[in-house]
Amino acid sequence: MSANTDQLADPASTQPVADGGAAQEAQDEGAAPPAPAPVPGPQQGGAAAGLALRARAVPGVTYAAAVHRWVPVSDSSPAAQSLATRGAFAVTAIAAPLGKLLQLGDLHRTAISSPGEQLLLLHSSSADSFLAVVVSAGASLVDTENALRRALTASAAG
Amino acid sequence: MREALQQLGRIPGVVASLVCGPGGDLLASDFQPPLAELDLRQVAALMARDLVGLKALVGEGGALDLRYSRGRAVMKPFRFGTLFVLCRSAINPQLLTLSLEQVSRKLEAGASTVERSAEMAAEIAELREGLSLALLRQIGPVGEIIFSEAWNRWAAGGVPSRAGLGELTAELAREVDDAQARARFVGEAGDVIQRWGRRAPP
Repeated sequence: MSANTDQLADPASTQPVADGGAAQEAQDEGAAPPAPAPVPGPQQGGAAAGLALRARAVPGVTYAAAVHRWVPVSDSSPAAQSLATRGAFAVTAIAAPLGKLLQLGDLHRTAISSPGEQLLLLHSSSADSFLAVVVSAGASLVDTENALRRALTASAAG
Repeated sequence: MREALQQLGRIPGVVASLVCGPGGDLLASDFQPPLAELDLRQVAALMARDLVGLKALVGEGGALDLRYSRGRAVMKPFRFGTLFVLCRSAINPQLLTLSLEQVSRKLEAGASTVERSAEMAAEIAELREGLSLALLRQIGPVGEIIFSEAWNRWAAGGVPSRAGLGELTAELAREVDDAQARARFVGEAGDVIQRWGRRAPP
């Protein structure tokens, strides 16, 4: 199997494909390079709640929850549990086996668009930890993701 | 279907696309080397394995868009299967979204036509069997040849209609010599046509 889609962009390239691909995409979508979402572990409940709160302040975001190893750590509401469950299904049943099959590398972002709801999962360095964000139906997923990454990067730097 | 995928293939950054049925059968594909059809068959099998879950996750008309460090994969289930697109990381997301909407609408429309054609074929086969049996019951096995010839002439006339079936019944009735048997055939044929006519064009 050899999908390696970014290598296809430059067949002569012998570099690891991950570098070129991520950087190029960031330029195309007008965003900073998609750094992993900094999801704190369960021992840092306050930090996780803070991360979710910062995400909720971004325009277009209606709810956000930090999930660490499939478990919501920012709050224990049914909404957070539901996001964690849906994220677990999307990753384990589809994204992980597909990425392995086509050698697509690390999972950075999962977007679930349905007529009544939009959901973004910004994955941490491992796919089982992510910031799950509900985006209002009328908002642009691309714009919201870019704004989220800017907000989270700024707060991490600050 | 393939034409719809070729439309996607013209978008800069799209590497491969496929449509698979609910059982994981590869219905159409469009891809570039080094991807191979075998790879896409494996993708189709993977999607079929979790199609119910995927549909529950994204709902009617929704999509799952996965961005990896080395590319991007989008899945969009529709009524008769799933559309899958593999892209390079550097792709215009708005253009991709718009094109996916267009292509999935085309696929829905195409699949509806195929489905309706299959339904019509089944209904006509049922009609043929009913009329044939009605004739055979009155004149015996010789009716099979008579019926086939009359049916083929009638079917060559174009789209089946209730008016055309009246002519076919009259033609077949002329082949039944006994008046009582003829009446029985006409009555039975009328019932068969009436049942079919509830679903057929006038």
